[in-house]
Amino acid sequence: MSVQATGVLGMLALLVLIFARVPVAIAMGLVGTFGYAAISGFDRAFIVLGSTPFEMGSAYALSVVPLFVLMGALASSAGISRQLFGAVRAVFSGRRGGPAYATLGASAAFGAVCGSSLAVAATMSRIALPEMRQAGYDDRLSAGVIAAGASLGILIPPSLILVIYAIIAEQSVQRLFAAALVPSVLLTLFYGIVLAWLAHRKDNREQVMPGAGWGERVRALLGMWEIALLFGVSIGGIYLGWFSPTESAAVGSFGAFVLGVVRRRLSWSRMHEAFVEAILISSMLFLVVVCAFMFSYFVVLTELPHTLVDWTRSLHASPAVIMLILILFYIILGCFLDGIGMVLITVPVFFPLVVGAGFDPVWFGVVLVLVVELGLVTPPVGMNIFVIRAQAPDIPLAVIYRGVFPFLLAPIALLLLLVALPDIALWFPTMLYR
Amino acid sequence: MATGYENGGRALRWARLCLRGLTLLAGLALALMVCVTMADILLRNLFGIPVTGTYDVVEALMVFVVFLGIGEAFLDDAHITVDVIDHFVSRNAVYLFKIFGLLLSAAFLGMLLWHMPTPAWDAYVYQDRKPDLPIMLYWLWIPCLAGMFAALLAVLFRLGCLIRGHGRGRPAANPPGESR
Repeated sequence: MSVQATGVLGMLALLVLIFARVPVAIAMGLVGTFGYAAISGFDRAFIVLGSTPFEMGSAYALSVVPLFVLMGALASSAGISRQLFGAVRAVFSGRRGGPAYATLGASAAFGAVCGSSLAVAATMSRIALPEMRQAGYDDRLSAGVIAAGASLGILIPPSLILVIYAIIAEQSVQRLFAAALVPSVLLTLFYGIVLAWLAHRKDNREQVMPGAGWGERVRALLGMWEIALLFGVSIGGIYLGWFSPTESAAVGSFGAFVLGVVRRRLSWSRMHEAFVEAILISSMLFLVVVCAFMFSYFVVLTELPHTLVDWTRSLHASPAVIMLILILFYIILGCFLDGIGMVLITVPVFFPLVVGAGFDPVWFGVVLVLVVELGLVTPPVGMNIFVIRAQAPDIPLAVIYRGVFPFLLAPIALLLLLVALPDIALWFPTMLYR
Repeated sequence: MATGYENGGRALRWARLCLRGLTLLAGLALALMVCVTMADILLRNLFGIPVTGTYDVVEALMVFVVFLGIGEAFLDDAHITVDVIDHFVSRNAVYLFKIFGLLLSAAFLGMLLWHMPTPAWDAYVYQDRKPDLPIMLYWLWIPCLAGMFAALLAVLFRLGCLIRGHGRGRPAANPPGESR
């Protein structure tokens, strides 16, 4: 059997195992190990299996993951999200759709210190959903805006998915964070446009609350200085070259801790919870990354990526067509696979194809996160939707999916824009690191 | 929401306690990682004195952070699983898929535990150490192996709970730690 045929069999086995409820990490680890053994022999495969976890577990580059996870967990425990929602609500008060804009704005801002879409979805469901219900919103719009807003969490730096992509594709975290900044601002604006359209539809029975005075709005905005400082120092520090990503994550964690202590929000029990959460998430991510490396070693041996590159060259398709096909494939895959799993499984296969077609790997990282974002809110496996449902079990899943549907226009529009104008993502990192 | 831990009882509390101990140790390592990195940044930028061996210390602490929590992550079923199939098959079939997933997880972790001691022993024989600080690598293999062993025990524990719960006619759709 040729190595390519072994590769295709391995891919099929991986999909079968994943859909048979085997954890994604274990499925990748098993297929990677036995696939490697089928090509190079069990002795070599077991040497790689025995040494890879320790090599990865003691890699400095990976230390950025637990530190950013800790920063998000401490920021959540410090009550930053509630303060953000209150401030943005004051700014948009007196306006039709005010609480929904507040949800969107607070989600974007919280995503900027949290890095996890699921954490934003869980927090905003608890804080914003009761407020929107009280204002007379129907559940469709409330759940839709929470799910859409939460998906911003994985695009706005610090994004965990971008960090994982950087590790797998051996790209610079700094450049990726810089590249994600403009698209994440644009996506927030696009979501805002969709929201404005929905809020002004005739069937919206919202009771508009009286607006706050300008003084109150300015005070609310100024009240966010600590959060702006936390984001500015940790992420801005990366952009300006003050810190490496690991250092930036440590500064962010330390800053979130100090913020929580100073504001008397971080009790021992909350700190304990934050650390346990950070450790469990980091351990889980670590096992996934180790197994993804095992899988990618196997993929390299199969020569599948090169075969794929040769095959697409033989089609004489333009790079834009190749990218649109890839995006379509990712959108379909995102309906069934979790975001991290999707990145880990596909990057080793498609990365050479993308680079071979002349695309910038940093730009592709941003595109990839956008399609993962779509996957977070599309049925049947939309993790953000599941999180909202867990927080509000009285809202049927179908209602949440219907609520999210109009918001899908925003990331799709941004994807098309990014394919047409890659500089949207690339000009900022090019300017910073020329 | 039922967690299925009802099937574990006292054994579960002990398992949770032991694994939480390892998780807290990992948390301590993470806190130290923040402190060491902050100290290096501050001393380097304010006084021009970088902390020697920061990279080595962070790498050593990373081993504790990522390995010691794996056991509790398995006990909580925190690992990413695609459960689309649950909507298309009967509860008994879902139960069988869960058993299958846990068996494969145990097999993979067992395989890791079988092959990881070889490079650990090599590190001991050749007295491998970190480049800047006299940290012997074989010491770092201890949390690594302990974490993997804890993970294997957690998977076997979950498997036992699932099978016992099913045997007693308890709902199998929600095994220990399953929250999705």
